[in-house]
Amino acid sequence: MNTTRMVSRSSGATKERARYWRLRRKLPLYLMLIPGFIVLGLFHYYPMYGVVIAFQKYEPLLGFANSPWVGLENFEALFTNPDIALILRNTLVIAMGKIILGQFLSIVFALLLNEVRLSVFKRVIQTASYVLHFLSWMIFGAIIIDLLGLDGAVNHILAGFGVEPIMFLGQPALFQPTAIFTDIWKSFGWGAIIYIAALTNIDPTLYEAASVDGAGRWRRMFNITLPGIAPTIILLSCLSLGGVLNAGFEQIFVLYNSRVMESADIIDTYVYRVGLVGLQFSFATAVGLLKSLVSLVLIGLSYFLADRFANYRVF
Amino acid sequence: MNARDKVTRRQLLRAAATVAVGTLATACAPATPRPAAETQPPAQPAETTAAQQAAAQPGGKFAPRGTGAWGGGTLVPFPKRYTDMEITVGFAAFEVTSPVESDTFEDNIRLRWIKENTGVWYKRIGGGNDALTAAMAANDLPDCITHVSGGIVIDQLIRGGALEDITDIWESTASALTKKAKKEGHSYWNTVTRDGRIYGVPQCPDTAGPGVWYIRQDWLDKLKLQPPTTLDEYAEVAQAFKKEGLATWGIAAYQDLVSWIAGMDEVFGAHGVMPSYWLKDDTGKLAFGATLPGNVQALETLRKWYADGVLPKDMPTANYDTVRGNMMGNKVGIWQLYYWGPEWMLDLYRAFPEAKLLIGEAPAGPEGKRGHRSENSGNQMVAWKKGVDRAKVEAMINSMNWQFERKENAVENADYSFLGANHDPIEFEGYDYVWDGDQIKQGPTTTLHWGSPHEHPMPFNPTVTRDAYARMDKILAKKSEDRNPFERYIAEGYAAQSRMAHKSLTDHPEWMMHDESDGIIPGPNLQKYQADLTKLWQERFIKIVVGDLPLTDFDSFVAEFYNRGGQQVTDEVNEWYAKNSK
Repeated sequence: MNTTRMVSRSSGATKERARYWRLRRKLPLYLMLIPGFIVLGLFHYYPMYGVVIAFQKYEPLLGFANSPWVGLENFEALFTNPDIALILRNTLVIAMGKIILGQFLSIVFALLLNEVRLSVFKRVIQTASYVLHFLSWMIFGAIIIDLLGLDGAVNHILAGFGVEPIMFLGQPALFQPTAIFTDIWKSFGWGAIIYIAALTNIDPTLYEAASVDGAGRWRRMFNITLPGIAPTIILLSCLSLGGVLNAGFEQIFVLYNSRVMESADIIDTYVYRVGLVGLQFSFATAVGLLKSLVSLVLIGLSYFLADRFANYRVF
Repeated sequence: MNARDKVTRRQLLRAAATVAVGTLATACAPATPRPAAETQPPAQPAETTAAQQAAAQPGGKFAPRGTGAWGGGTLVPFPKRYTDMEITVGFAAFEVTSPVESDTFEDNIRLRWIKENTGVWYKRIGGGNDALTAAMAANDLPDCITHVSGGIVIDQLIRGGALEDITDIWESTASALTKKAKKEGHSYWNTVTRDGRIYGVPQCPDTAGPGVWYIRQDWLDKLKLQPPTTLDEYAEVAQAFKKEGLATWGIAAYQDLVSWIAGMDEVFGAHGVMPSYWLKDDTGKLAFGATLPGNVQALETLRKWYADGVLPKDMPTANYDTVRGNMMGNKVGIWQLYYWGPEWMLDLYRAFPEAKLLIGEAPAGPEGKRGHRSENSGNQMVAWKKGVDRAKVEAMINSMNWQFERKENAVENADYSFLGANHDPIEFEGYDYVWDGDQIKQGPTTTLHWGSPHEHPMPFNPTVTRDAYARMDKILAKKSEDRNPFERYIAEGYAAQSRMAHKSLTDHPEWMMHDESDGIIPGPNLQKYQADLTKLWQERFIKIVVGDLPLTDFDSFVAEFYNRGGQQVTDEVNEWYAKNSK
């Protein structure tokens, strides 16, 4: 018994020692996390107490402590606005369009790029495709306005086919498709990077075996490549759910105009006009808070879906 | 793992910890005050021109070469010199445009000039209203707050007790001339007055707003056309420019119908309305300009112009860059702009040396009406934070006294270097202008930019008085050969066009349309509904102009305007006006 106890004590001490050494070995890594946590705490969590102004009529001079409380008045103002349904619809249509078509085109692009055998050509194309990601919308938007203007390159090309000039950014019916298309153009290359990385993880022997069995290029793509990256597709699709209320402020702000307000005004541009230009900080915070809550729910949902369909878990 | 590896890791840890702690300490440390020595005017760049060296005489390196150079006389002296006084001033919205390349917003030739001549160093803080809001929240206001836009902010500052009551010091320090120039008693003062106490000095510029219609003189000459004066004539000339292949579009326009550039303000003005201003209606009450009946005729004109191709087809999507590109790129022959437009058109002159601009009259409507926006000034002011050293307030009011004094009582031919086209800029020999023999020519480094309120050396706009332009009349009355060099510089050339443009507006004060609200009404309803109502009228107007909506939609727009908060806002504005108008 004593021997057992001694062995047990000895085993416990060994485990403790092992834990100590493991901790000591990983200590540098833990320490290196500290600056990140500090930044996260200072700039993301500490300012969160500021959301109280969503329930106040905030005046900067009075501060958080002395500004009068107004309950849910700011939220009511949002939902009693006659344009709110239109604004929500625009936000959802543009955001969903970007998510769905963006994902689809990124996958297609990754698959096509995977079929390219000439590595130099492949790299040039890949670089050219994602370099637009690094341009701000202020710059890219100016390019788009120039290209799609009545006197722009696109209309010149269309004129060659006898098509009358089209005001892409000046017609309500065309604004949303144009916004979605231009956003995808800017981001599909960047979005394809993860899929391209996923493609490299597919076992090449599967392709060799399929070739031996007589599978053609399309067959290999549908039966090996797509199933191989399916978990990644599901994961990214689920995670993108959190962004359905983010239709892209910068882009819309740069491209929209009074004539297309009915199809271009989104939550963020509305908040900008009413909250920031109109100095209604409480209102802007209320809308931001509401957006964050909806996003939180959607992120929770997406996490559930990612776990269910792609076995993706953080915890 | 050997000892060397362990040491390396420890060092790494120490280094990481040091960096983290250091970063944190730096981030959390209070801002280091600028050492006194740094606030002194820095030394001039090593490379100075002969003119600068010659000008580096007692009285200041950049002192104007007034005395004796072209007629004698002395500059009006600064009333009181201060010793090493620093005044922090916020929050200009724009960066300084200095003719000196190495100059910065915080440290430039104009600020140094003031330091040398008055002993006051103005420490400028930029950032516009956003920076002001942050400073308000942090209880960290500068000594002087200026260029504050928006009656709501000003109201918050006064109600919050953040501003110094300057009633007594204003009364005792401001000269009679300053009080006159600052229009004491005018409704502009409503911005800064509460219960008879004064909390600031309104900007109250006497300048015209945008509203000069520039026409390509060289194209008129080529087609042997007379300058247009009515709406119909403007349309005819625009069509002629297009027809002859001189212009791609007739009259410059873009998505903002009321604007400081390529605006259609004067088309509305020609029908007695101005959409963005609060104007008196037939009953004498204030109404939002966009809801007044005269808009129907104005929209009809614009609608016709758009359909006929007088206005660019891409007007609804064109932005500021597009419209400026059209002006500079020889694509339009007529455009509306501020009176300083000619100075802003250097790119056009450089690219198309044959280009000449004619300063046109505001177009007259069918009933002979003309109208353009006066500068809506009431929402800008100078104020001082609560508890400021009152000597600083005194210094700045003295500075105002000085500026108005030298404008009003400038010694003939001695003070012309201060006679600016707008906003009273100071010009600097060797920069803005140079002497070439007995001639004054455009300086080598100048941008021909004569300044703006935001660049002005003083932290406030001293108001352009028409007195300056009265002197302009005297200069213009002389023949060119009878003018002295500085008079020729002022009255001839590109920069002179701006003065002429300003004169064209100030000669007709009856055309200026004044916003009765002065843009300063701090009512809660206005704050709540303004953004929506602005969007509403802009959206509906542009749709009517381009033909998306029929002209008859105007009535439903007015009804919707009042249903969506416009009635509450109108009531609030009228209540405020009845109580505060003077």
